[in-house]
Amino acid sequence: MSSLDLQAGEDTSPTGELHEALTLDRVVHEPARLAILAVLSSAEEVDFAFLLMATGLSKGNLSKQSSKLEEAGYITIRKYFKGKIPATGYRITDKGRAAFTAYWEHITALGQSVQRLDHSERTSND
Amino acid sequence: MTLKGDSVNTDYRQSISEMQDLTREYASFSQSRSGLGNVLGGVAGLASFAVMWLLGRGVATAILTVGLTFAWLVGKEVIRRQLYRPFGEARETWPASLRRTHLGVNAFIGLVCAIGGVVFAVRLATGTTPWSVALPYLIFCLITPWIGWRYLRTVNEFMVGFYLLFASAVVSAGFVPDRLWLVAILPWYSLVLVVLGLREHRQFQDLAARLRGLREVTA
Repeated sequence: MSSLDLQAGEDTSPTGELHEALTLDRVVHEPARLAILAVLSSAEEVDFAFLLMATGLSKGNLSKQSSKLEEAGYITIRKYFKGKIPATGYRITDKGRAAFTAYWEHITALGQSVQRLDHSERTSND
Repeated sequence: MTLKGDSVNTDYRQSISEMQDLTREYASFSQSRSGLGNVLGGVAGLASFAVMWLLGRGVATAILTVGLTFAWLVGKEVIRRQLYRPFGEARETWPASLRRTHLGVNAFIGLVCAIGGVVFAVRLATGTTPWSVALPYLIFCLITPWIGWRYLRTVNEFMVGFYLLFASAVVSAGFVPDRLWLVAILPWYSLVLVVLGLREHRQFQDLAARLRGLREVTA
């Protein structure tokens, strides 16, 4: 994970904010993976059917992206049986939760910076 | 609530937050909210009270009270699985504070039941209490901690559940609990459970409609 926190005294110039954007955690930044983490961060465990419905991803994409998150150590995937039917359970790990939280704070700060820049540009044009 | 592109915009962040809210709400029906399961508990509580009040002590009262208690315990889990998981399973995250409270309450119940269990086992072994009286209490002491741990999650469930289990033991031993006590506790908590359950069920219906809408958008 390579995310940075925006702290007081950090570079908030356009170049600094660009640098911030470039240091976003790329594993989390991909929209499908972000959606998976968002759902998993809100429950202890969810199954494939719910994750599929909540994220709106295709079955193939969900499997592919969740495998990438598992490889990064952000989620765990558990295979089990509901009676005789095979099922898959997904859980976010502590590492994944920390990465998601850091990303979320990062992206929120970045969004605010973009708004600030936009506002200052408009006032200077006026 | 689809995710298109990776721009840092408000809609995008709102979509993620909404996705989290819907998941949390849906998952709450796996643990802390029972909906119609609560209504069933309330009805079982009120019905067992009415049975004890109207029939008094006897085999019929014992059968009906025990039957209503177990019908609720089984029924609420069946309702949870059949009615509140139409979009798959999502298990609620239980905050550490609630986990500790649940553990504490169950540890207390376990301790009380262990003491009671030993007392009734000794009485049964020494023949000081007839088995028809001691056995129901002994069974109550043995199964209540497990039922509390496995099936009772909220304060209201504990109140009604513990009371129904205790009432089952008392009526099975051939007695009827003190009616004033019943009037004070059981009907009130049963009514609370009915009202709460109906409100939760309406909330789930709204949630299900939102999730169905989401499924149509993403299909």
